[in-house]
Amino acid sequence: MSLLDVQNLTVSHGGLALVNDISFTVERGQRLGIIGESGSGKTLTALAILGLLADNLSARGSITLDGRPLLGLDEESMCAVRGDNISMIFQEPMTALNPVMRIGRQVAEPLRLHRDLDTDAAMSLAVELLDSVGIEHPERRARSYPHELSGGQRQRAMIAMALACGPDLVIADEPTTALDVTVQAQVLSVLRDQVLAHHTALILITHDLPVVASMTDKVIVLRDGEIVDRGPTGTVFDGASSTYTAELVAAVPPMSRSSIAEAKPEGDAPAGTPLVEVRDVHRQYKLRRTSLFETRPVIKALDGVSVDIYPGETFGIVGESGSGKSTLARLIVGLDRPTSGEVHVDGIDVSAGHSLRPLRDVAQMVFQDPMGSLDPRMRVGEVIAEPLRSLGIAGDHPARVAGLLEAVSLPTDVVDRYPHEFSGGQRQRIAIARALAPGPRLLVADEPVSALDMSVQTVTLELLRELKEQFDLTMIFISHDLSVVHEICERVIVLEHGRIVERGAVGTVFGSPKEPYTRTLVEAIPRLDGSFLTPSSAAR
Amino acid sequence: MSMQEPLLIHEPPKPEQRGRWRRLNFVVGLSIVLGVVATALVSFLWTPFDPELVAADKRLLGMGERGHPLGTDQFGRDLLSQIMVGSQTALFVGILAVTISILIGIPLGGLAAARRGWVEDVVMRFSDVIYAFPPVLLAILLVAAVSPGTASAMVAIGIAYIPIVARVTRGASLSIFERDFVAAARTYGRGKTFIFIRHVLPNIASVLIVQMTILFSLAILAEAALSFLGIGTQPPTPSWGRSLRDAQTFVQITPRLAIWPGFAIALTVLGFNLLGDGVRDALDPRLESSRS
Amino acid sequence: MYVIRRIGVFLFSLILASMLVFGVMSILPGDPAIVILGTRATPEAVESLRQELGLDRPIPVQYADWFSDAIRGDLGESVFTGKAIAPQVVDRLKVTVPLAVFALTLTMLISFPLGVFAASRHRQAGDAVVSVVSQLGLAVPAFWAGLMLVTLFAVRLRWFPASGFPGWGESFFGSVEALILPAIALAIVQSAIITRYVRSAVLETLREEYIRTARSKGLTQSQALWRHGLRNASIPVLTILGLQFGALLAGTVVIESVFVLPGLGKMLLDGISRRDLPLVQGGAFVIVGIILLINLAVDLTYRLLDPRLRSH
Repeated sequence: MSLLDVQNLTVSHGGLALVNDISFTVERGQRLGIIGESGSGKTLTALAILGLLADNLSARGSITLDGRPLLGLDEESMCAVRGDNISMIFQEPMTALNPVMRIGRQVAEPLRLHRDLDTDAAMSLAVELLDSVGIEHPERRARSYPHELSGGQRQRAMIAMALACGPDLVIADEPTTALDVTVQAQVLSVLRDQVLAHHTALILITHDLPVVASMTDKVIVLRDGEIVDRGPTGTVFDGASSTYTAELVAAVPPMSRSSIAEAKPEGDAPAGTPLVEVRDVHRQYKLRRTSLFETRPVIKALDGVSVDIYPGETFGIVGESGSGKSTLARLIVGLDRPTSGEVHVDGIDVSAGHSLRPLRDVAQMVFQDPMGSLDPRMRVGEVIAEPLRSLGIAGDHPARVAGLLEAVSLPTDVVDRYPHEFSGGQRQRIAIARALAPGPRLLVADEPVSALDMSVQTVTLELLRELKEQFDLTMIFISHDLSVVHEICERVIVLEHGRIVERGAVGTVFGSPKEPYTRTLVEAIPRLDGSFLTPSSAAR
Repeated sequence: MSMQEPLLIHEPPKPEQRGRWRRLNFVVGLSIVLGVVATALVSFLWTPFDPELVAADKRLLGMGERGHPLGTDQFGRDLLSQIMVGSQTALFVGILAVTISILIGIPLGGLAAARRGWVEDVVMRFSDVIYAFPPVLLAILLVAAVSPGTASAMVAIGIAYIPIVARVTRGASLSIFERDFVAAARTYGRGKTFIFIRHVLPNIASVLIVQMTILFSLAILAEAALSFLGIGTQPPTPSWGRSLRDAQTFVQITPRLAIWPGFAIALTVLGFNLLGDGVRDALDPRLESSRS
Repeated sequence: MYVIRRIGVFLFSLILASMLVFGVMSILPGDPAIVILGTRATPEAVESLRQELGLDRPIPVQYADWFSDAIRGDLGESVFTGKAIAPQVVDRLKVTVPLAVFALTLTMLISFPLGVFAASRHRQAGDAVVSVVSQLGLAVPAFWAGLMLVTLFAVRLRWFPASGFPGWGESFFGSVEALILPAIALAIVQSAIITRYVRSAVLETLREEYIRTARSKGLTQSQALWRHGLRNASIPVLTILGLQFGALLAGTVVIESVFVLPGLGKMLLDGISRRDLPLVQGGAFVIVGIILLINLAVDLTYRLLDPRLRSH
């Protein structure tokens, strides 16, 4: 008998089936990956197993744990199952943890609930659990509040909480999507070590194929609420039985396929006068005073950065959160000013902070979040024509808008529609069209594909590449995702804490990194061949 | 690339269920408000009796007696006519007080959100201090310095609500100013004033409209209280609050005189509150949808 | 550090408020001396009164004088009775503050359970009933509720006194009794407002992800609410309680006039009708000072409830 047996599960909202007639099993100690893009129903499946679907959703079919039916179980018995037999790890540990309760109490809570332990006993067990997931100074951390921990520590605490009662099954829903890549590697290896050590079954839900490849034994692929593919992890990705899975596999950038670096031909060394010159730029933010007698603490977002970017190249800026990469982008397009140092774009002194009008014709920007970068109250046509009007560019605006829409492969009749009527990828195309409207020479793209589904990412990258040729652009491409940068950029800088740690041609920097930090970043990338979580590289 | 993203134009699914109740709020609220407005308009042209006509022989008539639907007060004036004309004062005060507060409060709140830093600090400190003056207190000060009357009351109420409008505007604007479409507008050369008017205001309009309906009903309540205290609307202008002041001495004998004007106030305020709730639910589905 | 800065803000606000109180009275048209003596007074009489009141000096000097006295607890003398204002204010506060606290206590006793109840019965009959009742409560003017309560409980049923206040020294229970109806009248409106806030704060909290986490550990919905939700929900509720305290004090001003209670509100109204500007100034300044003090207390209490505010 399987540990978990899901048969003909359907989750519906009104008459609409969001998860449609899916069946799968998980054996004791087995690790199952559920793959799907947004809206595929993967999270709903998890919530249905735990009986935590929202009131307006209903589940049909059968779910049994050790032969005991869970679907239709009364609330009291279901509460006894949750946290004891099945537990869950959520995506965003900052919001999934109670902000006003100490970590130790939160980790101890399932123990007090299911093991009937008193406060002290539960708390000392909680400290042990925190220690076992690699949190340093566990006694002190147990007394901390969630906001006092780093993202990685919070997610480790979530893992400790989920494992507290030694459950038979742990469900992890995109557990590392919100984390930096190096932290992701650490958290995933902790999770894998823990479930292996306790022979706990794992359901890992993610959109990220390489993560699944390195964490699980078998896989199911969900699309629009239905299972389109299933099998042992290796064969599903190699054999690629359905076209959808084949497409997902094809969308994985080469660098995320295997740890054996694929040689990337080095382009010609850049020549001529640089389009963008950044000279010893510092950007500091002052925080509020914490004491009367000390000076105000300062955050150094950028700490002495110099870089030249030449016409026609695609230049990558990579770094983890807080590295200063977005600050650098904002300085280049004149959204912010450096504390010291100079930024010149096409001979215009951007760091002066005034008379930036000429810069607007030269440099435009594409933002990360396609939801937030378009004014929801403006029609698409107005959105794209706005820069033309603002900059007083003469000419036949409707015709130019139509031309731009065509360039980003959108039908020209969408001009009268509002942004919310489009999907994320389409919205990003509209944002790109708007950025191209004034006819810029420099396009600064800040994480332009990070909020998009994997398959949409590939298409959008392809589009950016084509537009760069068509409009003869210089592009600055900012991302946390090394494999995307590897695919699209020629030269790259790696930022850490506001400093450039390494620079050079992409193939060289990522293929044979000289600096330890770059090496850590490269090694932390999950690979489709499952090779990233080898004991040697899964360092703390 | 073989994978073209399907071009599907999709509407976000509208959360159902919030349907009937919510619409009921809106419909009832709107009907009451329209009813009050209609009454005020009609009372300019016609009332059953002259609301200010004092008649010694008709003092304290009961409901329906001698053709007075709600009876008469201690001076023999027709109660229904007085209540009808009182709606003019209520709406007038509401409109002016709300206008004063938004004309000053919205630019202030927008300025604070757009400029941040010390400008924001100064604006918010000031509005915090004004906020410590409840409308009734501000009116008392103003009346002590100038003279009692509808105008003092309206100005006092309007000023007292400036910090509320400024606060709401700032709070709502801040999150909009953080959005990337504002940064995008700056990269193509739009100034902050243009951005505030063209991009931010339309996106916070629903919040402001809801706030205005709430302030409208608060202003009506405040005017009633001031007139009840004798420092608001002065005779002979009829006002619901003043009718209650007049009724106070007779309330032990004829509670009717206190019931009807109070009922008029409560109904009008209820109307505006329901309208505000209805508008909010219609414009902001997030507030009531229960996704957990 | 935060505490020091917050107290600084409080003092700054207090000064600003005092300027406003003083400024409204001095800058607006109308010579207090003429106001006091009437328009038929001789110019000589007006001039001598102006000198007596110090009105012939520049306004900033007058303000500095008034403020430096005020912070030392001297609010000047009433132009009508000639008595010192500060002791009168203290006397009046003995009615107004207990009334406000009484009303606030009633408000919390009514609105907290009702709001939590409505939120936990979201979209069910119980929630709908609470919504309708609170909607009605919002629409009722407090002073009218007072009038109706007097008519019903004092005049018809004779359970409580209709008006007056014996004084705490005279009769403690008589004094409490005299405050019951006014407190209820104030609490009706305030409870309606606070109930709605409690309800939406709890609903908002129930949608948070940490509630789902708590459920995934095996807590029932109500356990999750009590152990994880309420402390989080209390943060926005505290804000609104603090903000509403000002409205409550203003409400006492009005309600005192319905029940003929010798509180601060009655004093202010008497001051207006007698054109006693220093009295109105002093009374208003004290009320604003109390409201600013409450805001300070609320901001400091925040930090106890929300650890995120403590660590920077």
